[in-house]
Amino acid sequence: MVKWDDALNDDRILSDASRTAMWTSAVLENGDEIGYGFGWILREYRGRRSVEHGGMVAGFVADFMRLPDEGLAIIVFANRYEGDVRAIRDIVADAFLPED
Amino acid sequence: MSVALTGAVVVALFLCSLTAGFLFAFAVVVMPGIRKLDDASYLRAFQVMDGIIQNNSPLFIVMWVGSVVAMLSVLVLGLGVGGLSGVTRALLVGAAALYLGGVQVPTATVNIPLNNRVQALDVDQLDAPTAERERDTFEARWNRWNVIRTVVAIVTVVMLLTAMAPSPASGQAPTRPDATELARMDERIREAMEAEHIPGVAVGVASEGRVLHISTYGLSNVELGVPVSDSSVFEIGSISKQFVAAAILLLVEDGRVHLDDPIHEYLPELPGEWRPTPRGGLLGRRDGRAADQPRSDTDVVDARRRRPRILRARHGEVGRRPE
Repeated sequence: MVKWDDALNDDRILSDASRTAMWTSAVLENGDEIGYGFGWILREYRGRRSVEHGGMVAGFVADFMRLPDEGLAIIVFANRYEGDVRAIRDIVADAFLPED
Repeated sequence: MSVALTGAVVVALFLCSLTAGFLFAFAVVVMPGIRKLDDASYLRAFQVMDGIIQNNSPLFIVMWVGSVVAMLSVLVLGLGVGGLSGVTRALLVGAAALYLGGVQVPTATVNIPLNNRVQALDVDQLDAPTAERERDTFEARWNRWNVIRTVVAIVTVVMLLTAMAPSPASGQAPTRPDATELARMDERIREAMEAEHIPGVAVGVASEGRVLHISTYGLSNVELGVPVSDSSVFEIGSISKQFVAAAILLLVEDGRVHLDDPIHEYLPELPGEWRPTPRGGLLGRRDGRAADQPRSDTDVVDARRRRPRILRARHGEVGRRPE
């Protein structure tokens, strides 16, 4: 995951255009942005740009959050189905982000 | 660094720099200058200069009292706010403590009492031996402590500047939590695990290809009591969406897939709702339902039951229009 995160910082796997498209929200017919790119949720974390996605499969929950402007990636794996690890992810992010 | 703390440090830096310069001017120019005067002139010269300060020269008061207030703010905020690196916190708190203890305390206990003693003299009425005695009592001690507070003030300014210097990466770069902050993080993670009934957790933090932190909590196998380790295997579930998306984007870059094509060009067996390609194209992650259409009404539900057939697309077929 660390290598994947790092590879997304430049064009070594995906071109600039591909990464821009991947992290641009799709737009509904009514013009609303859905806050979702190509396999990435786009949001803000404490005022910082975040691209992230969780995962849930029998027995496991995971979360991967990238703060591209800070160069910070948080990875959380848990062996619990349908639990919420975003609280844990935020605890870790807060420990590694400068105070606002 | 919080806005309040940053503001306090900037104000403290400004006022302490002025104070350091003020003391420095006395140490290298003013006191060596009046040293050349005879005893009575020396005492009168100091009286006149000190008189300006004792008359509450507004600019002097702003500088001197302001620096104390700003440094007290730095001390309190530096001790109180979270999110500071250990080094930054030590520099800020150390600078404030040093300034208050090494500049203000000597001023209050040595220099000001000496100033007041000189100020109380009626120089015109002093005989020569008394003037000489008064000067001897004053000059060496005042100058020694003035040099000390000058050096301390300069060191204080350097410490504040060092604390404010941006970290090598950038001002927004990740911080390294110290041992106390990591222990607090671990404690909060264990509380969250308890709340969510999670047996085991592995946490990783990375920055630009460097692993900043890995920690593990709880059990990977509850039945056998096996703890989570940094080599425990977890499933990532839907995080895999980004890998599929990246793979498709590579095909797009090669010109083998076009995001604006109808999905059925590639996977004709997919549900009917997906036939009109929505804005945003193939990877837009919409299922084509109207907002008020229940999911149970759609072909998607039926398609889910036929999933094995949908997944028949084999390696090499993608990008080739089906016959």
